Amino acid sequence: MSATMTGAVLVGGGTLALALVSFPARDIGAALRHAFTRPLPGEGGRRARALWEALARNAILLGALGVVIGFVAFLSSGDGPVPIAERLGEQVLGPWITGLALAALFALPASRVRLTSNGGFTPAGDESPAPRARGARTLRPGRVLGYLLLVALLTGVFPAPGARPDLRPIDWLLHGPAWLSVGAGALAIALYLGEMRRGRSLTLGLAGAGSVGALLGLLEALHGFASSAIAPVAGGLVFSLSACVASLVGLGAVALPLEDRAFAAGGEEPSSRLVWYGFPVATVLVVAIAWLMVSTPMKMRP
Amino acid sequence: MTGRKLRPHEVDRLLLEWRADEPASGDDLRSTMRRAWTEARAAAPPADERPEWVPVGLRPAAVGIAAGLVLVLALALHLSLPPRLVAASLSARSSSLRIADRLRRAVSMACVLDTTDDSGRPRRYVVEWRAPDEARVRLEGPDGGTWLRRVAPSRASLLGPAPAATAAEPDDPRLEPVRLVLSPDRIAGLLDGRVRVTVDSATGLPVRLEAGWTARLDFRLEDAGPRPLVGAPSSAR
Repeated sequence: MSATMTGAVLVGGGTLALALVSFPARDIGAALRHAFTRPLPGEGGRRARALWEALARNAILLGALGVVIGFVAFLSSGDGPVPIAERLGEQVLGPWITGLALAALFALPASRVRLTSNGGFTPAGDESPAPRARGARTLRPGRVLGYLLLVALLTGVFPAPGARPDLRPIDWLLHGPAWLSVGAGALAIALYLGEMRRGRSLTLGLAGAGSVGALLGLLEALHGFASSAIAPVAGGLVFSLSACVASLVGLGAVALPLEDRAFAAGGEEPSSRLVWYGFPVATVLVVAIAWLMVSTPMKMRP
Repeated sequence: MTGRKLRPHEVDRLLLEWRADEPASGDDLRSTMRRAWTEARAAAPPADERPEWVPVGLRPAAVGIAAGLVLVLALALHLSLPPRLVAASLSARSSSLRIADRLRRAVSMACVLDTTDDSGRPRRYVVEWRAPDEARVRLEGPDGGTWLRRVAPSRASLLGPAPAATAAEPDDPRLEPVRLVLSPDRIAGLLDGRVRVTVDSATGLPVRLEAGWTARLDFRLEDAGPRPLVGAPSSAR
C-alpha cells in the first residue's frame, strides 16, 4: 500500500471507527439526516452538530497520528539521506493534509442550523439537557466494532521494520517509559481534576502529560544535539514521539469518547477545544523539529 | 459552598437549621424541599465520586500516589536504558548526511571500479567525472572502449534551471556496472547501507565502496583548486 493510501486509510477508517465508539447508531443516522436532508431542530440538531464536530476533531487527531507514523516509517525504511525531502510530502504530511481536508468537510454539517421563515435561527426550543440514558450499555456492539476496527487499522498501518536490525519502528513508537509516563501522569492529573467519568479531566490529563513528555524529550534531544552526543538525541526523540503517540491514542480511544458520551447525555459544552485541536498541531510541530534534527548532520566529537 | 454530594441525614440537618425560627411555614417548606430533593436524587444515577475504573476499595489518593511512583519509575527507566539501536541508526544516518553534504561540493571525481562480467572474467572501469555533469568512462581490456556521457542530476530543483536534455543514461550494456558510480550525486544515493563504505577520516569523503564489486574513489572539492582531468586517476586508492 502506498504511503498516500496508508494515510488515507488511517484517517478515513479511523474517523469511522471512532464515530462508532463514541456514538450509537441512531445518533449517527440522525446526524446523516441533519447533513444530507434538513437540519434538525433543537436538541436533535445540537447532538448532530456535536457529532460532526467530533468527527472533524478525530480526523485532525488521526492526521497527527499519521504524521508520526509516517515519519517513523521513513526513519525505519533504511533509505539514505537523499530522498528525505521527497518522502516528507507524501509519507509524513500526507495524513495531516487528509485529516485537515476531512475536518473542513465535516465542519460544514457541524455548522448547519435550521433557519426560521423570517431568516432567524430556530428558537432554542427545549434546550434542557436530554435525560441521561439510564442503563446505557457500556459495551454496545457498535462500540466493540469501533474498537476492533481501530485496533485493526493501527496494526495495519504500523510501519514494517527495515532490512537492518537497528531499524525497528517499535523502538520509536512504543517506547515503554514514555507510555508509562503519559499514562501515569494522565491518571494523576485526572484524579486531581476529578469527574473522570465525564472525560474532560482525562482529556486534560492526557494532553498535559503528553505535552510535558514531548517537551522534555525535545529538550533532551536538543541538549544532545548541542553537545554532539547521539545517545541523548536518540533518547529524547524517541521519548518525545512516543509520548505524542501515547497521548493521541489515549485521547482518541478513551478520553474523547467519554466526553462525547457525557455531552450527548446532556452535559455541559466541552471546554477543552484548545486541547482537541491544539495538541495534534503541537504533535506535528514536534515531528517537524525531529525531522530538522534528523536531517541535519551532527558534528561528531573528535 | 461545597461540590460534595450530601447524604440524606446532612440534608435533613441543613433543612432543620434553615428557617428554624419559622416553625409553622418552615415545616411545610422544609417538607416540600425535602420531597423535591428526594425525587431529584432518585431520578439521577448514583453519583459515585470514585472514578468508575478505579478498583473497588482503592481510594483516589492511593491511586494517585501509585501513579506518581510509576511516573518516577518510567523516567528512571528512560534515563538508565537509552535506546541503543535507535542511536546506532541515527548515527549512521548522520554520517551519511555529512558525507552527502561533502560530496555535493565535489568538482571532480576519479573512480576505479573492479568487477567481473557474466563469465567471471575480471573487468576494470575507470570513471572520470567533472562538474557539473560530464563523465568519461574507460573500460580496460581487449573488448574495452571509451565513452563520454553527460550525467543527469538525480534531483531537479523546482526553483533552478531545468536540466538540459542529455543522453544521460548509459545505453551500452557494458556500462551497466558503472551506472551507480558515474557521479558524486549517484554515489551519495548509495549511502543507505546498500554498499559498504570506507571513509577517509581526514577528509570525510568515501574512498572505497564494496558490494560484490570494489570501487576506489578520489574526489576534489570546490575549495581545493582546479586540477586538470587527464589520463588515469593519479591518486585513486
